[in-house]
Amino acid sequence: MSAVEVLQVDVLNNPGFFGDPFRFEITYEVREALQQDIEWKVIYVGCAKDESLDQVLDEVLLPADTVGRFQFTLEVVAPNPDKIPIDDLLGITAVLITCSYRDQEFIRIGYYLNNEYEEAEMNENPPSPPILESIRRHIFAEEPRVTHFLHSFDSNDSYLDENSSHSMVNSYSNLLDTVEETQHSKLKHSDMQSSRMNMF
Amino acid sequence: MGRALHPDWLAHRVRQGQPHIFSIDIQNVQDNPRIATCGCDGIVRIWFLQSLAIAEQNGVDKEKETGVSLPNIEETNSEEHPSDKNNITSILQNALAASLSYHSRSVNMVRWSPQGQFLASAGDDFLVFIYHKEEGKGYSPFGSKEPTPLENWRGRKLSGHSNDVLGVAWSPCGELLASCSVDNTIIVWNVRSDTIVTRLQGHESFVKGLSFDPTGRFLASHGEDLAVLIWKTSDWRVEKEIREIFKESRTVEYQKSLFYRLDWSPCGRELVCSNCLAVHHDKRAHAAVLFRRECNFDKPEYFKTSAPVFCVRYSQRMYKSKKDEQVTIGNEAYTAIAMGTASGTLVVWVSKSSKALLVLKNACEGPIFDLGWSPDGYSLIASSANGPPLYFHFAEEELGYVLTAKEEKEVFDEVRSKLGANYENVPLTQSTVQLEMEDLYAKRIQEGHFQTHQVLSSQDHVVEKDKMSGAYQPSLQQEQHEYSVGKKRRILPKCLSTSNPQDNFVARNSNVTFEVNHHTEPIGTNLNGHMNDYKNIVAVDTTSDTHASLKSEQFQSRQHGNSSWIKEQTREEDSTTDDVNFFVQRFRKKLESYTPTLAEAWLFDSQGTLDSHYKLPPFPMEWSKHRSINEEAKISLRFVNNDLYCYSNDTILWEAALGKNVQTIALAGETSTLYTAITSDNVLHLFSIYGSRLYAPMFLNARPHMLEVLKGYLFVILVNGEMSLYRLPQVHLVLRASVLPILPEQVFEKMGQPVIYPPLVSKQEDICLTLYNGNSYLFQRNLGNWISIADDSFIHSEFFHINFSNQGEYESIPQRNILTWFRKMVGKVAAPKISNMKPSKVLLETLAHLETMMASASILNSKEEFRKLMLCYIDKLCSTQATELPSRIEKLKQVLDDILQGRDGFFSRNLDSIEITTFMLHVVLPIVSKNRQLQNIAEEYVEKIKSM
Repeated sequence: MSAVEVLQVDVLNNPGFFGDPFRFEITYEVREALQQDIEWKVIYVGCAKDESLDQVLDEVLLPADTVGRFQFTLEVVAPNPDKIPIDDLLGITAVLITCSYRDQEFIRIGYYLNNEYEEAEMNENPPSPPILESIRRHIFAEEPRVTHFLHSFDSNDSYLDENSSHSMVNSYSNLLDTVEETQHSKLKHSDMQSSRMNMF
Repeated sequence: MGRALHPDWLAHRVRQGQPHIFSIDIQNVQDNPRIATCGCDGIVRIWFLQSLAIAEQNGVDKEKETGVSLPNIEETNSEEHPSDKNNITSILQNALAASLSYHSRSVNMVRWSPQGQFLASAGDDFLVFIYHKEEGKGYSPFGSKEPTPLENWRGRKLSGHSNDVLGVAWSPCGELLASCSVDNTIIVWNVRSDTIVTRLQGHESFVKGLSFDPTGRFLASHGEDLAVLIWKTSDWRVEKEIREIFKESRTVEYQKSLFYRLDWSPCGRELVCSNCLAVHHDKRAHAAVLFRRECNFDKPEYFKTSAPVFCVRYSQRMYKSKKDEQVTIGNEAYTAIAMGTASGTLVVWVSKSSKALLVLKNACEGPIFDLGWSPDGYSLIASSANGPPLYFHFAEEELGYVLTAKEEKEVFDEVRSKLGANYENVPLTQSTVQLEMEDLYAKRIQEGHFQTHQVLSSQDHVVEKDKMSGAYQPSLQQEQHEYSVGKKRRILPKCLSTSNPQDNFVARNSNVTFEVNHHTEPIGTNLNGHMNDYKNIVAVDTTSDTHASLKSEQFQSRQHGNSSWIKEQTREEDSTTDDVNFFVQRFRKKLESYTPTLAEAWLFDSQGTLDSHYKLPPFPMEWSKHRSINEEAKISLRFVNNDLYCYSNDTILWEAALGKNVQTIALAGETSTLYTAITSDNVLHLFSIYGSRLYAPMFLNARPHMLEVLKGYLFVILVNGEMSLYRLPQVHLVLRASVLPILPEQVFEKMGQPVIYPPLVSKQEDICLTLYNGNSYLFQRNLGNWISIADDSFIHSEFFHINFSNQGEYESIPQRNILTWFRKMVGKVAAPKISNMKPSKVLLETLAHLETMMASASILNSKEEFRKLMLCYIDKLCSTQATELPSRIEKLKQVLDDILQGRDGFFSRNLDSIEITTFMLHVVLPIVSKNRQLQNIAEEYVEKIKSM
C-alpha cells in the first residue's frame, strides 16, 4: 500500500496569465507514518521533445509523521520564459506534480496546459519577441493523469522485491485514454505524439 | 416470482480485458445494508444495497421475471440493453459509499464482520486491510473521475503473509480474523490489537478458502493440496482432516480455480465445500459436498452440478414453510444454500427438499466467484468474472418465511447445545449473579472507574478531550505554516483529521470516552490541590510524584481518622479515575518542573577518541568548556585561559583558578546550590554560587560520562559505569553503584545520541534512570540492585498510553513515544525522529510487565499505584482471548484467594485499609465477570464471600 495517498488536487487561479504563480491545493492522506519528510516537486515541461528543458519550479518538504488527512496550498513561481524555446512558449505543454520519499518518486500527477494569446490574431502571427503579459495559461484541471509507482516507504513489504518489474500500478490513464483523445484531438497537431507526453 | 437484476453500474474497472469481481458480500445490518465488492483493479468498493431498488425503479436495469417454483428453468439474458449514461452517473452518485484504493494489487476477497461495522479485504499485495467508517468526506481515487463517495471509510493494514492472500474469514464474535494465502499458511489475527494470534501450518499447498464455524469452535480451510482441514479454535490443532473425498479433484480444471470457498450453515451443523469431483458408481460429477458435524464430518453428501462449483454460501437466516405456524424446535426450520458454478449457473437449495429450489443458468456471463445473502434472507447477490453481478430477490412464498428473532434463537440454541458448542465464544449466563456483576461492570465502565484498554489506549480520546477543553492546541496545524530548511521550503500542512485507524477499533464506545475525559480534568486539579501541600515534593521528579501521592494519601487518611468504607471508597474512586491521567500527570509535571540545564541532551562528539574498554562514551565535548546553567538568567560556566568563569549575561560573576596545565572536561551546576567542574586530571571541583571553593576536590576513578547538579543532588556517572549520588550541600555520598548491569549490549552503536537521560531522584533518594531504549530502572538500596520499572513495552502499554501535546513547536511528536518527548523537552537539539511504525515484536502489555510494575510499586510502598496496577492485572488476566485462558485461570485464582483471605500476601498486604469483601464484590469480581467463560469463578467467589 502507498503510505501516502493523494486524495484531491485543486488547481487554483486557473486560467491565469503566463507569469502568474501556479497554485495547487493538495489534499493527501498519510496512511502510515513515515520517518522522513516527503518531497513535492512541480516541474514545468518546457519542451515536450527535450527533457533537459524541464524546469523544476519548486521542491518543498512536508512532514508525514502522523497518520491523518492533510491539506496545503503549493504555490510556485511561473517558469522562466528565457529557458523555453520560443516555438514552445505557446501551445500545449504540461506541468507535473511529483511526490517522492527517500528520493524515490511514488506518485506523479500531470496536467496538460495551454498557453495562448487572448486574441486569435496574435495566435496566428505570434509577435516576436513574445508579449508575455498577454499570454493566457489554461490548465486542464479536470484531466489529471495520475501514475502511482510502487514504493517500499519505510516498510519491507516483500512483494515489492519479488516483482520489481512491475514498476507502475494503478495508472488510471487507461481509463481516460478515450476521453483524452476526443478532448485533445485538436491538439494533436502539436507535439502530442511525443513519447514523453504519454508517460503520464 | 423472483426478480433478477443485473446492475451493470456496479462494476470494477477493466484490467487485462476482464472486469473480474472476485468477491462480493452484504453487510449484516438490518438498516440500510451495504454491499462490498473487490476485483483485480485493486479497489474495494462499498455500495448501498438500497440503490439497487432505486435503480430498478428508474428502469436502468432490465427487470427479469422468472418463475422459480419449478427448477431447471433456463434463463438467458445476454442481450445488451442501451443504457443511459447520465442515468448511470446519477445512480452511481447515490449508490457508491466508498471506493478504497489501499491495495496495490488485485483484491481477492472482502468480508463484513459479523456485527457489520468492519470490512476486511485480502489482496495480492500480501496484505489484509480492515476498514471502518469515519466522520467526514469520502474521496474517490484521485484521477479516476468517479463520483465522490458518500461515506468516509478508512483502512488499516495487517501485514504478515509472504505471498498473495486469497481469503479472509471473521470469527463469529468479530474479535478474530483469519486470512489464508498462497504461502500455504493461515494467519489468525486479533483485530483488537492487530497482532497475530497464531499462524496455522498444515496445508501443503495454497490455501484457497476458509470459514469460521458460527459456534466459534472451528475454522475450516480448503487448500490446493485437496484437503479440507478443520481447526479447533481452542488450541488451533487440526480436529479433522478430509482428503479422501477430494482426491478425484486433482484435475487442471480445479487447480485453475482461484478460490475454494466454503461455508458453514447458520446453526453450525453443516459444512459445505466447493470444488469437488464426486465419483458415484464410476460416474464422475461436479459437486459441492456437505459434511455433518453430528457425523464427525465423515459421511459426505453431494449437491451435483453440471460444472465445477466455485463458491457456496448459506443464507444467515433460517426459514419455515408456513407463516403462522410455530416452529417446533429444530425440525421445521430449514436452511438455504446458494452455489455458483464455473459456467455461471446459480443453484439454490433448501434443506427441506431433495431437489434444487432454483437453477438459474447463465445467471452471470462468466464463472461465479462469490455469493452474498442479504441479512433479511431474501436477496442473493453473485459476482462473476465477466459482466455485472446478479442480484436476485426471492418472494417470501418461494423461499419460505424467515424465522423471527426469537424463534431463530431457540433453534440456534437447541442445535448448538446439541453440538456442545460454546455459543459465539460467549457462554450463556448460568445465574443472575453473573448478570448483576456484568451490570456493575458496565456501570463502572460508564463512570470511567475501571482501567480498560477500550477506555485508555486510543489516541482519539486525547484529541477528543482536548477539543472539548478547548485549551489544547493540537500539535498538528489548523492552518498551513511554512519555513525553510536549507534551500528548500518545508510546509506544515493544514490537518484535516488525524485519527489513527488502528486506534479506532477499540474506540467503539464513544460515550465511555466522553465520560472518562469529563472526569479527567477535575481530578487533575484535585491532584494538584494535594500537591500544593507538598510543593517541594512535586518539584522533584517522577518517582517522587509517586511518593507525593502516597504521602497525600497518608495525609488524607490521617485527617479522616478511622477511615470507614465510604470514605475509603470515595478515595478509591478518586484514585481510579485519575488512572487515565496518572502517568500523563506524572510526566507533565516533570516537564513543568524541569529546568533547561537538566534537560540538555547528551550530544557526543562523534570524532572524539574513545577508550575502547570503557563501556560508556565520555562527557559531551561541547559542554566541556562552555555550558549554559540557567537559560532565563543567562548564567553560564565557561573555561577560558586556564580559568573558570561564571557569566551572567556576559558579565563575569566570579572567576576561579583550577590549577596548572589542566582543562575542564565537564561542567555542571545549579543556580540555587552549587557549581561543579571536572578537570582533565579527573578531579572534581566544587564551587559555591558565589565562586568560593567548597570542600576539597574529589579524585575520580575515570573520566566522567555524565555530570549533573539537580534539585539538591550531585550526580556523576563515570565512563567505567560507576554512578555516584551526593546530597548537597553537604556532599554526602548517598549512593554508589554501577550502571553497567542495566546497559544494553551495544552502547557505542548509539554514538551521538543520549545513552542515559538525566536521572530522577525520589524522596527516599532512590534513583531512577531511563535509557535511550525506553527501559527504565530504579536502584533499590534495600535490595542493592536495579529493578526494571518500565521496559520497552511500557511505551506501547494498552493501559497507560501517553500522549503529549507540543505547543506550537514545529516538530510533531510521533505518538506514544516517550523518548522523543524527552528529546523534545531538550529544546536545543532537534528531536531525532523515531519511527512510530508498529513494533516488530508484540510489545503490548504482557502480564510479566504488569507484574514487574506491581512489584516495583509494592517495593516503593505506593499502595495506591499498586491497586491501580492490580486492577489492570486482573483485567488482563480476564481478557477474552480464549487461547491463553487455561494458564491464566490458575493465576487469577491465586490473586483472588490472596485478596480474599491473605494478610501478608503480595496482593492483600497492599490493600490494608480496604474492606475486602466490598472491594471484591464491587470492584474485583465485576472485572472478572466481563468474560463469561470465567463466570464459574466469579460465582464461586461470590459464594465464598457470602459464606464468610
